[in-house]
Amino acid sequence: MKFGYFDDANREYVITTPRTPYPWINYLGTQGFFSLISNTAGGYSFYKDARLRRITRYRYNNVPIDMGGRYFYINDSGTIWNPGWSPVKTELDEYECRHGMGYTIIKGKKNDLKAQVTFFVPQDYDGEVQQVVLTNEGSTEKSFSLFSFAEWCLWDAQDDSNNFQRNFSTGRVEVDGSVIYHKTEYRDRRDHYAFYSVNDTIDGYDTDRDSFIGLYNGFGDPQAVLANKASDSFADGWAPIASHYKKITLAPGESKTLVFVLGYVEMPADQKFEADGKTINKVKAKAMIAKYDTPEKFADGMKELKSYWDKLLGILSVDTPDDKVNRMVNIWNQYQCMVTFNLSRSASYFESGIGRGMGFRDSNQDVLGFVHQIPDRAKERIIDIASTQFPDGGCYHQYQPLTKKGNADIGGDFSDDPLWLILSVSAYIKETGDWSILDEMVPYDNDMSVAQTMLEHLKVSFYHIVNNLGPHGLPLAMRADWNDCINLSCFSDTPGESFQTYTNPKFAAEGGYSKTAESVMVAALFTYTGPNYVAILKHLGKDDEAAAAQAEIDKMKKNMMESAWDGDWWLRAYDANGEKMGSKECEEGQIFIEPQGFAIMSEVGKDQGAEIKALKAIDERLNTKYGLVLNNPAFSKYYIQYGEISTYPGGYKENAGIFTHNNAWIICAAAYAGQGDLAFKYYSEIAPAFTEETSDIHKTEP
Amino acid sequence: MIGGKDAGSDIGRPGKNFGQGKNSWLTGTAAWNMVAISQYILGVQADFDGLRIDPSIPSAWDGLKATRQFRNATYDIKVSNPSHVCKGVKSVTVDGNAIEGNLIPAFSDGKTHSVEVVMG
Repeated sequence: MKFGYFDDANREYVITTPRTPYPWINYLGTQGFFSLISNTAGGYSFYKDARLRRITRYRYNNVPIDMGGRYFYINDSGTIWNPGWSPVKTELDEYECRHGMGYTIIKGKKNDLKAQVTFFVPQDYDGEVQQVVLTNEGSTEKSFSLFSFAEWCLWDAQDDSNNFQRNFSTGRVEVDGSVIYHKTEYRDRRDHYAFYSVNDTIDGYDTDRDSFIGLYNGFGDPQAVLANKASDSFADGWAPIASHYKKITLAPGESKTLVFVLGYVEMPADQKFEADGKTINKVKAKAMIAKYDTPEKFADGMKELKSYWDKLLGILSVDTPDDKVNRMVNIWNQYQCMVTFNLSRSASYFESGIGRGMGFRDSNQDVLGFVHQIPDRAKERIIDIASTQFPDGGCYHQYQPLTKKGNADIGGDFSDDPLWLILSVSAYIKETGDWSILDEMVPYDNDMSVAQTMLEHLKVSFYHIVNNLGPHGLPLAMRADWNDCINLSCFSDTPGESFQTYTNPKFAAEGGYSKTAESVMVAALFTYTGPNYVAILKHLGKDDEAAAAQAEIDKMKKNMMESAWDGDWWLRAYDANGEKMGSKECEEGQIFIEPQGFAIMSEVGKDQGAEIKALKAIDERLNTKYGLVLNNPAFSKYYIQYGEISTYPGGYKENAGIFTHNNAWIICAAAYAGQGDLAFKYYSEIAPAFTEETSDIHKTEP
Repeated sequence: MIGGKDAGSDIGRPGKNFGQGKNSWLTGTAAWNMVAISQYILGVQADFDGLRIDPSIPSAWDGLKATRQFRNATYDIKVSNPSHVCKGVKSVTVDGNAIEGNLIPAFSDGKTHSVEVVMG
């Protein structure tokens, strides 16, 4: 069942009902200011960092779902509704949501009044611009009220959701004409404020949530909208919001267009205030507001956004016999690559934006799909990531995008991390031919005094694997590899111990993690990635170093054939007891997806038939109509020696769930092995343009 | 993550939530599927010394076309698959001239170059 359709000419997905099986969201913004927006206008905005610089508030896992967003309420002679249906949920006569490239259009119609709201974040602009077009499509005059609504987050999203004894007293605002400013902590330590403006006079406002909504009301029945009157409330602590109130009368056929801006401003310390030392300096905000204060300027902004995407998507376009492939490659997959590059999964409807920053392995992989679009930004990102590496090649697993510093809470010792840096640097050079990235001086742990060239970073990455091998000559598994839920040094029997950061004290003497547990996945990733490093060295004329690196790759392949081949597929690991994981000898979890693809693409054991056997085993044991499961059979009990993976009920998450991320490795491997039909079969099982038809089962957006 | 075939087995109803998504098509999914479809299946691969064309496509396909901007040149690529193979490049011409192998040089001349690839 479908809940909309692809409009390829406009590069939009058109949602035709607000009752999608889950909120279906779009991502606005490509540089500093980002917004998440659902098909009913739920979601939130942040500047660069979804945890540390959250601009509007959002409540995850709420009842009902997707509460909080940028809402427009209409009170038309007592009929109260939202153009996006929620949160009032009055049945609309017409509804449509168009998620496009960096913008979303929501249209609603009720009792002959039509409202079309367009949301976008312009280029080089730290704000979300919203245009509301109201049209009387009836035959009699209409008088009604429009209320806007945004709820401010007190900047640090984590603190905002728990430090209430402080937060209920700190909220501060200013109101200047039609502009509502949020300035909590601006007087003290912050150099930034936010604002919400409209390009017209208003008939009132509210800035205090309880005054607008009412303590015992909800987003669906705010008391100001019910009363059809704003109270000009002024927030002093509690929960600051921004709501404009405007009375509008439209003759039959007449339209009214309003442009709102939800903006973010940073000010230098000596320019924060006006002469009185108290009132905030609004110069930058006013310039931002002026940039989009007419429908013509708004239209120009939308045109600019479109030409930006025309240019980006023009770098690669294909014309294949399959329209769904064209749709994915020419539009949506490239759009997703940009979104993922920017947000690196730190914020979505499944990542709260506070749980994590940017991942070392994640962001390096993101570069692979993005580098052709804007190579300079990819280069900057690669250098940021490499700057959080340690001199021995290890690295922080995550870093915060605002500070660009490694995240000490999560720490390091994830065994696969360094290899992804080799892959991303190689992808950058392959795209651009710009070998100078290897000469860039890049710090270790953000300390410029110990900076080394990027080439040296690649070397320590490569040898971090070589220097940390286990009893079979395979890479040590450490805390985890790509699969964060295979934790072979954890042995956790106490609630609250993080599977990713807790290692059992019994390994303290060995340096923190088992020196027996080995990852075949990292071995295969090493043999897949390593040749890039060798090619780079050869290009630079460093033939001796190239030969030495190649010898390590050859040795790894030999070790894999001797100790990691299970007869029909590759083992997953050796656990801390030295037992095989992912073997036909195991009771459960006999085969895993992760090592297979990279081993095939490295041609390990190809002359002994390993490639054909592994592809056959994958097809027989892992493939389903909705993609390849991660492992099989699923674990039905807790294996303390394996860690988090076996805590999930079978079929969910890493315990035999389907990961479209690692499915792609098998698609690549099947294609590499010349099995184009098989590769395409796996691709069409998971690609959204193909799975759209089963949206009722799939639930999430196509 | 999408529920696997075992989803629901814990409550005695295996397959109950088979196919149910619990994340967006972001994560490494976006990048790796872009790599998979554009580089490994359609076969347009940036390489250290040029642009490599090496498709691995459904055998039923007659071919494909692609336009790729690469190091300050545009490549108009036409792949034909008269023998209906999955993989294998029989001949390549660049601007009408046959070349050895399937690695197209980086022209970096701001011009458009026509690349014809015959599989077989």
